[in-house]
Amino acid sequence: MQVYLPIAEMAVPAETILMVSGVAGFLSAIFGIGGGFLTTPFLIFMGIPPAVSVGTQCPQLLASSFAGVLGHLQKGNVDVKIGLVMMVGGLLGTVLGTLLFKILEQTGQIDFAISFLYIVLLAITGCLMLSESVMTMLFKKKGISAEFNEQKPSAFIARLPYKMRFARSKLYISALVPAGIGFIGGVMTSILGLGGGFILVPAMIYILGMPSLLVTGTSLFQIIFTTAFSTVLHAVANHTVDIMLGVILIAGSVLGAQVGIVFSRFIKGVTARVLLALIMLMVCFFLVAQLYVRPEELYSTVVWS
Amino acid sequence: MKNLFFIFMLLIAVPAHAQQDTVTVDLAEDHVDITTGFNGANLSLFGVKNGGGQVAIVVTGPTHDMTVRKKEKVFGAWMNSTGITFDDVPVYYSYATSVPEGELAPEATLRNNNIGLTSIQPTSTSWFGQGLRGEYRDALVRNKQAQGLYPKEENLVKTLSDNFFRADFYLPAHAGLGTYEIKTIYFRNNTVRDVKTKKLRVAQIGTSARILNFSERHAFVYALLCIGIALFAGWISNRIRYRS
Repeated sequence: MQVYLPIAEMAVPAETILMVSGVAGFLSAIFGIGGGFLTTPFLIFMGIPPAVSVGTQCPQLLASSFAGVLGHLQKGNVDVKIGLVMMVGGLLGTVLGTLLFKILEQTGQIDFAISFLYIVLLAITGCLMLSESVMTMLFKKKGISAEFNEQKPSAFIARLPYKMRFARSKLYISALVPAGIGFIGGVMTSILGLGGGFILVPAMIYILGMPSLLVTGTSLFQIIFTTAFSTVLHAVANHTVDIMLGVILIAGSVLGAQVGIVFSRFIKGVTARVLLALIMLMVCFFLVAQLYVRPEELYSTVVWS
Repeated sequence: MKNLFFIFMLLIAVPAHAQQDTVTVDLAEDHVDITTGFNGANLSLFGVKNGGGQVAIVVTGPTHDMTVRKKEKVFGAWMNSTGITFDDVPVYYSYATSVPEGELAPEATLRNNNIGLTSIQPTSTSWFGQGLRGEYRDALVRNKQAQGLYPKEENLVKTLSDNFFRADFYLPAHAGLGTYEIKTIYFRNNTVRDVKTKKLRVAQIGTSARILNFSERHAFVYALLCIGIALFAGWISNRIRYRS
């Protein structure tokens, strides 16, 4: 069924979009990620302008992270204080990201920049996750415990000013570090249309040294602020949030998540991480192929409104 | 039935003693309404010519500036390089003629009347690539053809009887909003004898239009609405999860 998108000013097949966001929702329930890295490149691939794809991903990410964070709040797995510090950085990052997006769009490099950044992020995270989980499988290495992270912060981080005490995470660390991580998350949300959980989570474990039990909930907690703020920026400054597309995306991911929950009982821990890493590397490979294969038409046209 | 009605109206509109070498036309619909289920529209134009000449019908969409960029290899990856911006290029263009283009009138006459893709010669104020304009213009036309917004093949006017004709055009869903101009040019002996212009309004209506207007006039409230929907959906999703 074709649905006309009022902001994108084009008709799209609703089933296809429902299916992709359904898969993203399914993955989010199993792996605890937003699934933005799957949806955004696909929307662009379908011919929806990058600005509308990224802008509209924001409310979708907000919906799935809000669903997730409620669960973590109920279980008390959120360090609200560190989350708020991350949020401050995240909001600044969102503003910078929206600005960068505009510049890249004007100079015609936005498609390339989005593909390139996705490739780099997915390749690094995918490879690290794959090697880490294969090592764990082989040597039954003891992972970072849920309650306490024995990771010592590096000497550089220990020397940074504005130290704050985060009781819930048992940390005494410079506020600049969580704010900086949030900042990068914010930039990614507004340029790439992803929550950034798959970057935030490892950064919070290995750079901040947070206990892994709190990491997912806290990252989702800060993602709800950056995605909400990003929605406002994209809607007000660029008029690129298409509510019609947004509703289809949200519906798909909510439905997909329900199916995912059933399956999540069977896929756990290391197996889940291996699968996720493989999916990431697959998307990465697809994007590389798109960028490196000589296009049939070398020229492209942009219409300015 | 609607079409018959138009032909009838046109018949009345052209009295028997009407002067020679004129053309009378009308559109089956003078507006295209884009609703949520919109997936392209057919435009039909009916006309009566008075005399033995030929007609050409040109449909031109609203104009916008457009930038054409060429991809170049940078470290093996295909990346856009500097582009050329053309001013006021029609977002949609199509035309139909009663005889093949070449037999209608001399090339210069066709160009002056915007008939045929060769008449699309947008100007550019870009300082870059003065010598590459022709190449980039051709690419622009190719891109537009690939999107179905410029014609790929000849479209002949259908002759319904001696003097009645009909021309059909297809407007895809992504054609762009605004006022379209439909110009009918009547030729006899290679010269233009009559020109009639009709306007076609392409606009969103109903829910679709309300969303677009609201998102532009009250962008902040619109954003809050999007956030509200997202939070509500997230909450619902969490409720279902919590129960199961």
